Amino acid sequence: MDALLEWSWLIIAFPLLGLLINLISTGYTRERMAGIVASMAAAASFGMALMVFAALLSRPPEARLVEVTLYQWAIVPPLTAEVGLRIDPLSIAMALIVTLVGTLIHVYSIGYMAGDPHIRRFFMFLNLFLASMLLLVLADNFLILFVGWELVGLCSYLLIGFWFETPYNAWAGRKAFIVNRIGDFGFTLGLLLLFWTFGTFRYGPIFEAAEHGAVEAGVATLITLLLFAGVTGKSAQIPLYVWLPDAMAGPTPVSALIHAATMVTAGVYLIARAHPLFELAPLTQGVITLVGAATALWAALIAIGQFDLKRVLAFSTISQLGYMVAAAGAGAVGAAIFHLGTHAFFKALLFLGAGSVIHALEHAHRHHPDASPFDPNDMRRMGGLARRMPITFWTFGIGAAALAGLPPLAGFWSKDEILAALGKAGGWTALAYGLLVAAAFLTAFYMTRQVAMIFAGAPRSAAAGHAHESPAVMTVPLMIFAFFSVGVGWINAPGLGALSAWLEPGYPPVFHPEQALLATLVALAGIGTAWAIYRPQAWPEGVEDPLRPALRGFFTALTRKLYVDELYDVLFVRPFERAARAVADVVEPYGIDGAVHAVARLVGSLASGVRRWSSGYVRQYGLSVLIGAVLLVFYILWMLR
Amino acid sequence: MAWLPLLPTLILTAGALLLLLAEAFRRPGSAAGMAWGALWITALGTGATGVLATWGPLEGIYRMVLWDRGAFWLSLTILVGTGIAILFSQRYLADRGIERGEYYAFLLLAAGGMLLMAVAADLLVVFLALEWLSFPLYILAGFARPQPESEEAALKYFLLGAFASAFLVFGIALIFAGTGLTNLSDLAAWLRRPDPGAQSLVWIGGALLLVALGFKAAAVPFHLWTPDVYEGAPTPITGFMAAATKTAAVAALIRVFWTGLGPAMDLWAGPVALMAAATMLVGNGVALLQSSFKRMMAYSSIAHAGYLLMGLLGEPSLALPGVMFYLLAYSIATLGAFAVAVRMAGPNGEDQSFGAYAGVARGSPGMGAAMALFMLSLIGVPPTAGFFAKLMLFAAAWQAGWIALVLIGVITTVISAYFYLRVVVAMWMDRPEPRHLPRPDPGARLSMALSAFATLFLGVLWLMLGGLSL
Amino acid sequence: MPDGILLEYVPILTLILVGLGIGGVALIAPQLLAPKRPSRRKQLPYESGMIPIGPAQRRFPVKFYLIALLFILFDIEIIFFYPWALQVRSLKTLALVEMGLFVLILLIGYIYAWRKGAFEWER
Repeated sequence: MDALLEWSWLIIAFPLLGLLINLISTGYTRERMAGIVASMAAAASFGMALMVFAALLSRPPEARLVEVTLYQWAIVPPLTAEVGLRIDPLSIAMALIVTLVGTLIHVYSIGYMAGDPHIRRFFMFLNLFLASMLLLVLADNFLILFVGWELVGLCSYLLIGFWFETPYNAWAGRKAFIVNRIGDFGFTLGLLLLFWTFGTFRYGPIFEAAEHGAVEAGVATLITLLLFAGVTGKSAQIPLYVWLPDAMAGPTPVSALIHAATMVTAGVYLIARAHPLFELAPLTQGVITLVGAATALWAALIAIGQFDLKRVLAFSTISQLGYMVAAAGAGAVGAAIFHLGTHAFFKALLFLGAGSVIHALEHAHRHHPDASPFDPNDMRRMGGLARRMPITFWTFGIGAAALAGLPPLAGFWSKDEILAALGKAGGWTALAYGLLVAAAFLTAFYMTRQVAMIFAGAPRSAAAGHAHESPAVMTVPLMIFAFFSVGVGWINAPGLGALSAWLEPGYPPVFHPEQALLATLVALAGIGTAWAIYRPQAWPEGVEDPLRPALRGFFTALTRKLYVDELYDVLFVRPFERAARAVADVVEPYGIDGAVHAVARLVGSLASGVRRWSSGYVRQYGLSVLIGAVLLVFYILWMLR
Repeated sequence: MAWLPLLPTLILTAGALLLLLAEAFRRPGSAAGMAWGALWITALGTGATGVLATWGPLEGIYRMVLWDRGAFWLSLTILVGTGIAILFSQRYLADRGIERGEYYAFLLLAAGGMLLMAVAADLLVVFLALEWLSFPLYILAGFARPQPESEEAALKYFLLGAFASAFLVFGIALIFAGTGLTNLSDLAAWLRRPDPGAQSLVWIGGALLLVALGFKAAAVPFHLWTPDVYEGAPTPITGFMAAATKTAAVAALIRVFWTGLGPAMDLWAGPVALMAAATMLVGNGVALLQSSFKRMMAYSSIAHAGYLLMGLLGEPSLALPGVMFYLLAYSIATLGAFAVAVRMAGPNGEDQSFGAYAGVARGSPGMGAAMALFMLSLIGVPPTAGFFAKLMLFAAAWQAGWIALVLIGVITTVISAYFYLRVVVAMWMDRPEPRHLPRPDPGARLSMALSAFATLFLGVLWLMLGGLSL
Repeated sequence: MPDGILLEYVPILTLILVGLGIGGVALIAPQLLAPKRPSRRKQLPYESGMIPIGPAQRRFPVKFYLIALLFILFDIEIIFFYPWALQVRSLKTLALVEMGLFVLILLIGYIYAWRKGAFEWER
């Protein structure tokens, strides 16, 4: 089995191969075959990840770390960089999640993207994303992780703006890219400081040095804070979360795969991966925990006021990422990864369900157009879809329940573990705990609101009245995901604890019955409150949202995402634009261009002086040689004096 | 086996003689066959070089020649340059109506002399090789007879070359008078324990050698022949001179100043540094003002001589790989550029002004892209080979403490971007409508493609290997 | 400068001095000794007994140069045979082979010149 581990690079290679095949394929069938090729590549990657997992499983727990060096890459001698893979429980667990979710979403996309004229480009980007994400996950050093980190960012940009004909989509892609740049600036500084401190990028030596206390606490704090700046960008935490809601402009499978299940969890993975470093910096850990918890509550609050069904899910993703980050920050790495895994499944399920709804509404709208402008994402124009789309309804409902944390669904176990881990500590963590419990209530509330608005009551538009269930290629992945959303939580249920045994042997999952009871009650309270407000009977005809009269101005603020975008606009974007304008109008033409032109004129006039030297007369050329020789000989004589 | 270091030289020379015989007896209209013959002989020489590649240091003929790693890389660069030059010559000669078979014989003869320079271990061999490579070049420069520019180029090159050779002979004579030695490694041994009385003779002799070799390498202030000769000579010969002759001249500099006068480096480093600085500044500066591609490339050739001289100042074991890689990268990019430039010749003559290049890339995008690549490599933009070559040279000079020189190198590199990109801009943007050149013949296409591939491949290879360990 | 090396050059110096001396004596002695009775005919430029016609600087056909060049080339190469002939016994076969190569190269040049018509006066 060990020989197999040497081949684990195939996990990354398969999606690349799929990309390559789609890239070079020609002819009539290539657009149709693209999805199948890409899905098979993803499936092969998943299969390989499974085999590597099995190989690793057959080893004793303490030997489950294999480093495969693929390639030595020296840039300048003191700085050497290896391209290598680190196969260990954490990376393989992530790789399994990424490839499984990725494969299912690839299959789903075949149906969802059918008929798109650029379907081949779509699947090429999707394969590229998968390979990049796996590179990020499996890398054995920070440099390669960073390569993957940037590549997934690139894929995210490309896929958000996949339908770039619409200016908003292209703008959303740019926004995601730029906001991430801000975080990555800190991340890059962190990496440089890391290299400066340790003299290497490799995890092994760095963590070993960290555990032996070879690094000062201050330096560790600075490094980890800078790394966390990257996390706030990639994993959409306060203050850089603003790009994720707009990222929903991309096709729904992209939202599911990249902006819910995998890429945005890269930050959590980073904290988990580098936890020996973070444990040296209690200050950073406190900051991370609080930022995560605050994000969880803040995003859940905004989600209540959204009408775009994908935006609700986007804010929900931000909120759930807050849970993971808070847990990872508090050192509960196992809990964070557990929630990451369960969330990947039920959030992918919710997004794909949302995609199914959107797909159905678009089709229905094409045949039964409304008079008013139509937005298939607008929940105000839905309603009553439970009867028309039963599979979508049931699977979506399961996903919502899992997200709300109802036992015994997946979200219950993982969220519970996070709360239990945070609840036992005191101080600032207790504050984080309080925030997270409040967020749990809001989570249950907004999910119930969403289910009620989409599926309950009477249709509120012609399209909703004529919607039909989506094809099997879309519903089957939904059912598979629903199955996982129900079952996947059990792998780390108390008593079993398979995930904990895999990730952190000897540390069984934390479970407090009273904690579980509290969480369940909170969730039920949220569901009940929401149902009381949004049930069809309590919802008068023509009212946009029953909550609006109750909350008035605050509800408007919620729909406007609490004016954070506007705040950033005033605080950063506009001053920056003004500064850029000033640079463009004043500094550029007079300062830079002036200097360049002056230098160019100077060089030019000097050169034209020198040019007279070459007169075309051989005698002068010979004289020049002679003068040069005489000067040289005189120099020698002078040296000899 | 004493003559093994001479094997590539012998193959090319014998080939040249065979071609001369063939030229005497061939039927009219079979000039393409001569090109093929020359190509095969070059390939044979390359093969011999390849076979010798792994052989360790190999001395022969009374220690007058020496085969080592440096000789291998220099020979390879020269042979590659010769091969590419032959590839794009044939159609050019036909277009210009100067399709005479002697062309290839002289080309091979010159290359044979250059290969001899690569293995020179004795001052007499340096002199012999210099004359050997120069004479065919004098003739080739005037090969476009009865074009007055070409004849002028040949005459100028001959007169000034003879003048420079006189310095070389006199320098060798002085050194011999002072030490009784011509062997370079013996000379180095002598310099480590010099006889104070004879020292002055050796040093003045060394100064005269620097004059002569600086002339061949086109270093300021011995560079003035370069633009006139480059402009007048047939375009493929200009390319060949810019690439292969430069390599041979640098080979001579390496042999004489590292192997022979290495122990006296403190003494010659000052003037060489001054020459390098002046060469970089003048070459790049005056290139800005040129309006003809060939003249611009002449100043580019001068400028690169400056960078190479700078490499000469590094610690030899560190700088040698840099100089070798630089020569290879520079030669390939230059030849590629000339492979494009020969396409500007037609039955109606040849226009090498930038205006003539306007819009060419719109008519033949492949040629435009290739030219852009070569120019980027000559500037030194990653990931082309030129970037890494410059990086290695600058690093070697920096480590030897020539910081001001490196700064001049960087600044002049920035300046060079302006004139190199001018031709690219002309080809792509200066005229909205495409200018259609006749479709290049297979030879020219092959030489362009090979150069483009090598320019990229060498860069990537360098990246992958993290610096070629030559 | 070591004296030993310079001493080796004494014969050369002698040769130069002797050459200068003979030339100088040959020029100076007639000036001193010869009787001088100039007439118009005697002051004309000497041209193999012919009476010179026209300007002295005229263009020659390039054919003369070609022939002269070839003559000088082969002439000088043949001088190389003299030292070789003196040493050929002690240098054994190698010298023979080397001279063979030398002659071969000359021969190729000769054939080339012949085939290209360098020896045909009228063409």
